[in-house]
Amino acid sequence: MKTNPKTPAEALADRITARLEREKLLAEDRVSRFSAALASGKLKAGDWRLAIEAVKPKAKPSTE
Amino acid sequence: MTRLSSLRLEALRGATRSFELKFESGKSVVIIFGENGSGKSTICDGLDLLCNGNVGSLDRKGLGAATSRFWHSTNRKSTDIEITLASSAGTWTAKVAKGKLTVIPSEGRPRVAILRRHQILDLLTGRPGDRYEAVRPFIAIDGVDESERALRDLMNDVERQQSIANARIGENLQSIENIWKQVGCPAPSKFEWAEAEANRDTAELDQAINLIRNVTNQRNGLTSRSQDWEQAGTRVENARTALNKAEAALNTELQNAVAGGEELTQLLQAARHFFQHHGQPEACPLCGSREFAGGLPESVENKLDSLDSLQAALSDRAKAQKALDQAAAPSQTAWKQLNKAADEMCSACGGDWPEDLPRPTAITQVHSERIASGADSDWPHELIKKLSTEATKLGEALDPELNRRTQRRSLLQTLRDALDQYRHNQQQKGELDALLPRLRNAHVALVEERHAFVDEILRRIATRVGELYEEVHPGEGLSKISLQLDPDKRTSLDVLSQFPGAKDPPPGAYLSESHLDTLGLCIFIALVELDAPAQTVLVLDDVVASVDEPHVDRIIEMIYNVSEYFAHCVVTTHYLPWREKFRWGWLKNGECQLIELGEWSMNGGVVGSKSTPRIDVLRNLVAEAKPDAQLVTACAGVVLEAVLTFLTRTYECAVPQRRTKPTLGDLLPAVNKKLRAALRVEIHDSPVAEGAAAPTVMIGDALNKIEQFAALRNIMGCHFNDIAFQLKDASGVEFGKMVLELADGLLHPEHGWPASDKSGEYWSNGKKSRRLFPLKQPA
Repeated sequence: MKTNPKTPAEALADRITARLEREKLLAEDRVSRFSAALASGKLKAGDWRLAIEAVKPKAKPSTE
Repeated sequence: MTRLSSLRLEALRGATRSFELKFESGKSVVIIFGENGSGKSTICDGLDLLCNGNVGSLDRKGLGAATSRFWHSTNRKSTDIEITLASSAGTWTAKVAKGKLTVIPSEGRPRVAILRRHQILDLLTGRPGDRYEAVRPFIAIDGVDESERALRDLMNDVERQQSIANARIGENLQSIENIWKQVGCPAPSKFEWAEAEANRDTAELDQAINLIRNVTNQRNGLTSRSQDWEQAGTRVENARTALNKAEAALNTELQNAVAGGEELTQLLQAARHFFQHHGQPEACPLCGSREFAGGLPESVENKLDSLDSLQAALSDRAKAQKALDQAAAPSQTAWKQLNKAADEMCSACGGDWPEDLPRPTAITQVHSERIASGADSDWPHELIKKLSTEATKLGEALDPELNRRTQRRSLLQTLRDALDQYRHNQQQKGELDALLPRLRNAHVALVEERHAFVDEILRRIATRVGELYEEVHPGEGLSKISLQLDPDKRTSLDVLSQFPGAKDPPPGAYLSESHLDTLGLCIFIALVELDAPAQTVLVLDDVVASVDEPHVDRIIEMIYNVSEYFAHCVVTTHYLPWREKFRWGWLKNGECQLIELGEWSMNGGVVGSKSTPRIDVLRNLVAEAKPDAQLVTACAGVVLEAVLTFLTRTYECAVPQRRTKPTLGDLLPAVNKKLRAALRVEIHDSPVAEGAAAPTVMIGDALNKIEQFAALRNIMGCHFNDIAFQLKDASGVEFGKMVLELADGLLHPEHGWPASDKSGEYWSNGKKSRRLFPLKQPA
């Protein structure tokens, strides 16, 4: 069996941030720092809010 | 990959004397064989204490948490304990002082994972929570859990903020409605009306309010200054009255006074002094007359009193004059201020005047009269009084106008504030409405990924456990185990297996103790494999006691197979066949080191020895300067039996079945002529040049020769027989050499017997250094 040099928390954090980026919930330039903070438990409520709010959802095209 | 070099134990547990274990280089598996109580666990304890800071063999023995008092040998002190471990990466020494372990250097110690007998059942039959603790290091995601909590807190907070924003929006709308009703529901849509009202220009309204307030202030100022002036005038009048009175009193006193009052006073004061010292005179001391002499002192006193009243009247008059002077100055100041207030009152009424306010016509008229009376002089008193009266009337007319306008202004401000708050809360609600679903999506993603991640690890562990278990119990159909976290209790791990007719039963329900041991071992190995196995020494302390022989062979094979992932594998056992298999080369002796422990004693401590394969024993015997023929033939006979047993089993030869074990007389003929003619071994100890033939040993020829000497085994080696008296020792030694040559041809000292037919052409050992032909017995 191959060994993973990352801790389980780091490996999981990578998966989660990749998914968040894929789903446009996290900006690409934040992924690295976000993943490290997520793994170490240093991500506070304010950090989550900033990160999620930093990626504004595209406005729906006007029907008028 | 780190390999152990040596381990030295001093005063630790069974090591009552210094004991050193040398690990042979290039051998990944070390088997430590010894009877119970020989010191196997002491060796494991040494590795455990130095590398893990614990002596696991003392756990769960009712010794309490502080087992350090039992670390040292009973005949030594704890401070005597010294453990030295050397490996390819360095050397570490552990000592104990005051019950605390110190390892120098503290960094870089090899990782050691030890499985002991009592732990196997913990993995299978212990509480799910305990089992989770064993798996926890591999699914330890505490940091992510902490971050997930922060996300959940944020979602709750945003939901709370959203509720508050909704409530505030309701309050804002209610305020707007209340104002709309207050003004009599002036439009069908209260909200449209509110927006229109809030946008209304209030400049004129503010201007009117400011003008009225200014006029009111000036009116109040005029009234106040007027009062000040009147009060000042009253004070002047009072002072003047007091002065008049003081002057009248003075005049009266002056009329009573006589000329030369001052000299008279001095004379009278001297007379007073005389009478005070000489008492009542009988005659006047001046003229000597006795007439009136009796009342003379009283007359002096009366005269002096009338002169004091004059002095007091003079003083009172001066004070009254001063008071009048002091009252006159403020009165003049108050008059000037009153004049100024009157001017300002007129000025306040003189600018632009809103049409819908009562006009200050009377004030304007008074002002005109004032100008007509002379602008440079003071206001006439009557005109100021008139102005004050008209100002009061105007103020009374303006007060309701001010109230009406300030109320309207306040209402508009309240409406604007309500609308501003409504818009602010609407915006905040909009932001929260947009944020919350995204947070929920992030949380869903996190939870799904966490579940998938943990499930994947558990599935990997379970799959690996199944693979290992299948190696030991092939085809038994019991390898499909699963590890599942209790969804309600994330720290609870269930082990489930598959049995015909039973749905996900725990292994303990149906597996035998032997199977449970194997499963526990497989779970342990699968777990340790997950975490940096190349830096880990795997130690299995007597964990295969209950497994029967065929399964032990497979466990040994499985341990060999997994040993390539680990830095080193140390296996202790008291299972005798393991030692014998090593002695007969049935283990992978090249990859395996067998250390045999002797009988332990208090004085001798743990005693180790190197176990020697039987073929090497024979080699040593024939190599002696003067070989002992009896020992050589006895040993050669045993080795020959092993060779023939291997051949007859490999080719499924017909061996007579008896109550006793087959003898050489049974085994030799079983290898028949056809087979002997075909039997040959190619030796590939070193690469063979292309086109060249590998060195070959013709087994049949060797057997034919040996057969002629085989009787020597019984005659010289095994029994007292007088026939042996007539035989030369050299014949017995020759027999031994022929058997040794046959065995060396067939068996590689490190790669073992050619027991695998995987090539499809010949039988071979692990490294194919021996290739035995043919694959099948000739028909």
